[in-house]
Amino acid sequence: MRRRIFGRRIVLKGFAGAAIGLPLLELTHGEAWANDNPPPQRFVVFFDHGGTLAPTAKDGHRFDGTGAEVGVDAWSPLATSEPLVLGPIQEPLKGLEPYLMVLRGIDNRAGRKATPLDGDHGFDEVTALTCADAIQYGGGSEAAKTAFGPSIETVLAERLAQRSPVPFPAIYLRVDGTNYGTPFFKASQQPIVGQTDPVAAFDTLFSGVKEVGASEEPAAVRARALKKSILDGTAEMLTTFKRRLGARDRQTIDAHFEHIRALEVRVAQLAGPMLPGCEKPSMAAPPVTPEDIAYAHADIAVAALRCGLTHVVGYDLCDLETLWLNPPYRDPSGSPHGLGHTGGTCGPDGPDHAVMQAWIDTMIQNRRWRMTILRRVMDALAAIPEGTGTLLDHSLMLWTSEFSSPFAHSASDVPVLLAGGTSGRFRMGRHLNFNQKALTDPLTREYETKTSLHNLYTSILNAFDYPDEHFGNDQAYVPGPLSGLS
Amino acid sequence: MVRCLLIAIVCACAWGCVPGAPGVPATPTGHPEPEETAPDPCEGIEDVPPTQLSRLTPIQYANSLVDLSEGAIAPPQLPAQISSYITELEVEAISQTSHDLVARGLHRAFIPCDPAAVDTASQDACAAGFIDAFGLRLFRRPVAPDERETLLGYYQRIGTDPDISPPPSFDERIAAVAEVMLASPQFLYVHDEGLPSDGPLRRTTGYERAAKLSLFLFDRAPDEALLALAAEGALDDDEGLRAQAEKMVLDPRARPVLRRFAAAWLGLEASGSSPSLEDRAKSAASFPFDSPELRWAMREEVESLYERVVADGDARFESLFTTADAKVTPALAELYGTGWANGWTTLDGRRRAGILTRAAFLAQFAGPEVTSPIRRGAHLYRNVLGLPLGDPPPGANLTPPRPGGEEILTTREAAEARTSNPACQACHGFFNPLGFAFEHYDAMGRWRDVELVPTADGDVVELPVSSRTEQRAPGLEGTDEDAVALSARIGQSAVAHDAHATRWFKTLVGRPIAAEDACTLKRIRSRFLDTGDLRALLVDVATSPPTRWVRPQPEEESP
Repeated sequence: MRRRIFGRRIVLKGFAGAAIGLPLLELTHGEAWANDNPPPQRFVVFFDHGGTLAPTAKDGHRFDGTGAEVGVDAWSPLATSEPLVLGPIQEPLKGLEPYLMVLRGIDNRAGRKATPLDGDHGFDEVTALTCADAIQYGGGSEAAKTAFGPSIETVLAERLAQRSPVPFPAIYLRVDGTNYGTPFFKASQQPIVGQTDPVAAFDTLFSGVKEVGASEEPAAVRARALKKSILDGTAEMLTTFKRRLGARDRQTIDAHFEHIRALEVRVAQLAGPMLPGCEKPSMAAPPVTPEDIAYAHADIAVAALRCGLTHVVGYDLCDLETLWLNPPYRDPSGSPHGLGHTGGTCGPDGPDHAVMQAWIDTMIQNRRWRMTILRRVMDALAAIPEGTGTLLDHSLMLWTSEFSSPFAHSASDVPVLLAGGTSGRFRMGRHLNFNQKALTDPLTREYETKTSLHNLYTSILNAFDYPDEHFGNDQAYVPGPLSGLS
Repeated sequence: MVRCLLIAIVCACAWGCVPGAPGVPATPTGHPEPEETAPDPCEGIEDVPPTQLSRLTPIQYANSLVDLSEGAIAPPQLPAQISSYITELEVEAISQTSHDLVARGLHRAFIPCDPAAVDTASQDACAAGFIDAFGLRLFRRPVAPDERETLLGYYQRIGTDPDISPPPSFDERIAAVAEVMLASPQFLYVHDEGLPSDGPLRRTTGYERAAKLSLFLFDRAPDEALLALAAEGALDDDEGLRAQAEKMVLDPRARPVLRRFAAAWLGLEASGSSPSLEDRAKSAASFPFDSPELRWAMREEVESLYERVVADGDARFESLFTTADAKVTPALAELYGTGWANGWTTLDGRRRAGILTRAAFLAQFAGPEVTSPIRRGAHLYRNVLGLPLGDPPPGANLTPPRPGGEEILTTREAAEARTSNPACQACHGFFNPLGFAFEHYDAMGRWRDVELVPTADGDVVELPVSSRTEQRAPGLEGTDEDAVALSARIGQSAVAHDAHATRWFKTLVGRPIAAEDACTLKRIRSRFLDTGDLRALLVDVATSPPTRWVRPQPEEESP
């Protein structure tokens, strides 16, 4: 089975690699080595609301810093290929470069095509991980956007749980704050919002976990059987109810039914043995500030992965006001959204030029802090042995956002950072740019790409040994996986 | 030049506020309806869109369970609903809540026997009695035969489940049935089947009407008395339904609904992209007197004011915009400059008349230090006048215009300068003036005659505040000296009446307005404009076709 996948994938990658001038032999060599190993065991998505500090216009070209817009780029790595030299925002990840790969020149093409505005709030969030069609429903201040497909981590979660059953196919954690919609979708029009309360997340995940080697109390076994019975009874009532409904409403009940079944699976799975080294994280004092909640969520995610409770984590980091804003932002503006916008008016010709340096400093500090969350997770995973390596070696993580530039609302050249050892599936420690204009001039401000998130997520599915040829809707520039990741 | 033009086009399109566009009143009165002399196309028409399943809101869920416990439990919290599909997070929370409530004995009052003493032969009858009694309250109607069969089957089966050892007692089996019922869709979803009628629509049953009235007017499931009225058929005819709605509007349980409506209408709640009044950032340097208690008082004042006008006052819509009544704490009274007061008082009506002149609205739609006439205006345009307005275009500078600068501008002047180009004026020209009328209130809602404006060299100058405005919002054209004058005109305008009636209707139906609602809305709006009576509006909405009729969902062909 694996050989069949290997052959087709390598041919696809080889052709695509040739298209951007990478040597075919090098690609196939790397892939052949990688596929001798089992695929990654876990997938973590960090969704970073509000974009980053990048001077990217809607069409992908880069502002040159002479107009109203700020031309500073604090996201892009400082070297154009390899070895990876981290950009200013990525500075907290220093030392982990061999486990990182920054990808540029990738569009959220589904978001760009979802609205005549070439992407916008809401549309870009709900398409960023789904690559699906999206619509707005409701109107005025109650308008919201929804997507017509599942997000990448949901697809992987269901498949990985089939491959290796776990109590929670995926867990979702959210650091609440300003946002224009969730990027996570269980299925068409079924958004998922992560648990915002670390204590509740802890209780849900770990209440059924027993210490390694401990036998389960008879009372706990009985309580679990009762719980399963009650879920069965609830499912029967859903079936009874469904008979009364029209076709559209039956879909609503089907979705409810699936959640009940997921709870049943979880109850059964929690009876199984936990992985060696499984320890419940400490939750002595409930965190209060968004910063503490963010770290608590990171610790919970690591513990859940370590205990084998899940293979997949969706970490939703909303646009946060923070405590370290520079003047004139030290007194929070009341809207991080407004903060992001200021980059469009504080350039040399902008009306707010007086605050440009403060804005740049604030953005870098704010986004750097966000990177410390990834650092915390990577360090923790690297400290946990697994086989001949560590959990980090066998993990694939994705960090991305709905926007590149928040002030331009740009879904072009969105930030993409891959992390983890990926079980050798991807050759890390590099900076890859799919901007075709950058082939001849790596520092160009011009932009042209044929690469979208559709391709990235196809590659990620392939990395987990799923032979998908395409992910998402038909708005990709070209179908297939990305070239040159291996 | 080309780029400016592009920005201009985007600005005009993205806000979506060009008068004459679909949904935007094109006539000076703000009424999109045909002239009076034309035949009324809605004459005799009653219609509703195909029925669609909805869930109890978190508030309705919590209130219903608190009622079942007769107030013995704290309101359970459910995650916010983000989709018509229930989420795993909600299902988990419901499952856990059901377990906790049964462990606390929520169901016990509905067991028609003593579980500890009942003999084996009588247990099954007791279980059936429990299912009927608990189900009537939970499902808001009698338990249907197939549901009773399913639940009794479960009750029997759990007693012989080989995985549960030792086998559950009778008490445990009843508790398990109760948990199943609390997590069942019959409780969690609102679904109307209705009864056949002469036309394509089905008449709602008395129980369905009772549920609609109670969920809408009380945000909770119907109580025993209302279910009894339904059983008697007292709600089957439209007169009986209306009489009941008129009683319920005056019931104390309707008051929290009025308060929640007011808070949402005034934009005080958090949304994904905007903080609540309580979390709205304010500068400690500019407003050292700010405190959580003051924020509480601000919200309490406007929620109480809406409640007072509707439930205790003359219930006239225009009174909302003219009253000088205010419920204050000493801190809020100080902010208003009334001298010490605690409780209901009367403000200086020349400066503060109507709910829009109160601190809650004024502080919520303002920056940390300075006012935001643009945001105040946009909220009024969209939510009080009900006029369509999209989001700001990408690239718009959303940092509140700051006073000062080389030309030493007031906040109003800075906002005018920021939005002066014709492209921006295509939208801002309509709603900015609404906000400019409130420039006599600072970012916390204090009255001011002058604005302290920082200069480029660090000094501060006093500039006079101007609140005189030429309004261009469709249906509200005219000149206002200040917010008090503008408020009074809003309270009398057709456009605001229409918007308010529409908002209450949307609150009832809990879904976007459909084409089938057009005649219903037209009648409700017309009556509200004639009477101006908010209590009558609530009764009209509560007894409108969505409460009385069901259109079955069309069966879709199998793919």
